Amino acid sequence: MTASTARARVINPGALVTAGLDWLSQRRHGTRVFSLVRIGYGVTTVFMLLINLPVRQQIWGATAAYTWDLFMQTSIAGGQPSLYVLSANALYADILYFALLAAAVLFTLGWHTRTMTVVFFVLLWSLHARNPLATNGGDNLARIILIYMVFAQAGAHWSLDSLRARRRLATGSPRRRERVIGTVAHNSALLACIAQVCVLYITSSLFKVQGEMWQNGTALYYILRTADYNTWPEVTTFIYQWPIVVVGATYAAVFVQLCLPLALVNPWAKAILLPLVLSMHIAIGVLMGLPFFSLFMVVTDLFFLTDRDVRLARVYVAGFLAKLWASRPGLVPGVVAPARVAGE
Amino acid sequence: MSQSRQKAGSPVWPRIAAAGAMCVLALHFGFTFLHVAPANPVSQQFASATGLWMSPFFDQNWELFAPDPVSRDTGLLVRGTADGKELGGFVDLSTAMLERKLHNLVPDNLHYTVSSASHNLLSARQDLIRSDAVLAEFPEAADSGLFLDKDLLDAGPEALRTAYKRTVDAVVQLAIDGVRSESGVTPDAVQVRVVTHEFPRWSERADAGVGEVAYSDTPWLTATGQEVTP
Repeated sequence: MTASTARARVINPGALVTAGLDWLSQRRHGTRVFSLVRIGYGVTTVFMLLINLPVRQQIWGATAAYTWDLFMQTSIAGGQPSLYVLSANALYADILYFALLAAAVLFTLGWHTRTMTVVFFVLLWSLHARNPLATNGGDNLARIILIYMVFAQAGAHWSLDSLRARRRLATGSPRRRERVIGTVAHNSALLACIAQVCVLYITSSLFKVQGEMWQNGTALYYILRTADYNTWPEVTTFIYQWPIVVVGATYAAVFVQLCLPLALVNPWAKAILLPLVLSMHIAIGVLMGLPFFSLFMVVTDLFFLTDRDVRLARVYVAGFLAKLWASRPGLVPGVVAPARVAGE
Repeated sequence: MSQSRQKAGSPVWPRIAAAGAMCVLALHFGFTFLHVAPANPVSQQFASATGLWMSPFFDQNWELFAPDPVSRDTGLLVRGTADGKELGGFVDLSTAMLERKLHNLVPDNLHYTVSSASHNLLSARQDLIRSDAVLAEFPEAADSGLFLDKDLLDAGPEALRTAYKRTVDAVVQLAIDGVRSESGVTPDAVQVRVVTHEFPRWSERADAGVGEVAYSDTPWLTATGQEVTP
């Protein structure tokens, strides 16, 4: 390509717009990322429901201190619809709970993915609305992303749907044509998820910079020492005696959140910021006893990856495993490095 | 993009669909922006449209540990009476929840039901006593107790008033539940005591002990949040 054509591309806004519109309507992007998020949300929810199994009636059922009458005031009247309004019965609460568990499993497995996304969302939303005291920001984010995921193709990989499609191909049936409108919806959903994550990080960091404790670098100390979040007092006491660690981590949390959107435009920024934000969320999950918040955030952070990143990661992992079992060839299926696809 | 130019015969409607989708996204994230941004002239102008579009399914609040993180512990103690007789002393609702979390990598969600109830009560009260409408009538509102008087409440905006009443109801139900599971009797009136522990500040971080503890009580309340004298 010559310099003159490159310049022509930059200064032609019409061509940029059509390129953008073609990006949206010609090919489905980020199908692997969506599939990973699907599995991540599903597994996290299954895990959350199993951990809460013994106390489910105390939080969302007949014996909840947040009584059904209280819930009815906030539900329909408060504009928070929920399937729990239909009955205060303990058995009904259990039916909804186990239906959500089943939906989360089927969503994870990618069985009729789009339908399951709707079912999973409705049941998860209903559960959260039943007791607003028992939810957190991770649940809020997951609910919003799930709405966008209804418009996406989240079952293209590692799913029963994709298995079925492959089997159909193997029996000689023609490949199903991807409808353009579905492609536009899918790519728009991907953009919406990315934009939503950016909204989260930018607002969260801008709110923080207004706080005195985030400014003077001691916020982490106060968070770690608050009993609600002090799961491992022996560890946190050790951590917060080092000013450089407290101040460094406090500022890093703000800067990483503020700068994370740069990961979308620069691979170096991504290579630095994404591991940092993932470590931040893992540290929050482990040190502050917020495992499900942490998992939902980590999974949602995957929207900063592209399908090419996911395929490269697979090649690295496969290579690592192959080296590990070098003496036993044939164990690891051959994986080839992805070629750069035009427009990716 | 030169490629797409060459495909002269390719239909134009995929691009139209894409442009339509972009308009929807622009509108949606325009509303999202107004929803999360601090109050400003534009967000105030479109407040009702924004609320209609965003609520409830896109409601969001990302003030995670911001502007300042929590820096004190809040605990709930509750006691109750039935037929004029007190049902034992104060029951500590918070310590059991902290114990569920201590040294537990994957605690269940039950602890939220106590900690959120007390945090919500305190912040709903704060929102009311700091609202312009209340301050205009009650300049000393900041000195009022945990449970706000009816007069002061009536001066507040309806949304904040409803939110406050709901948090009181939630705490009262929590208290009834706590007293009942401790004494086996359903109380007809309960009292809630919020314990605030301000642990040592940063400069005294080596001090592993207890900091300043303050108590704040509600009056005796019935299940519906009405004040009573037991």
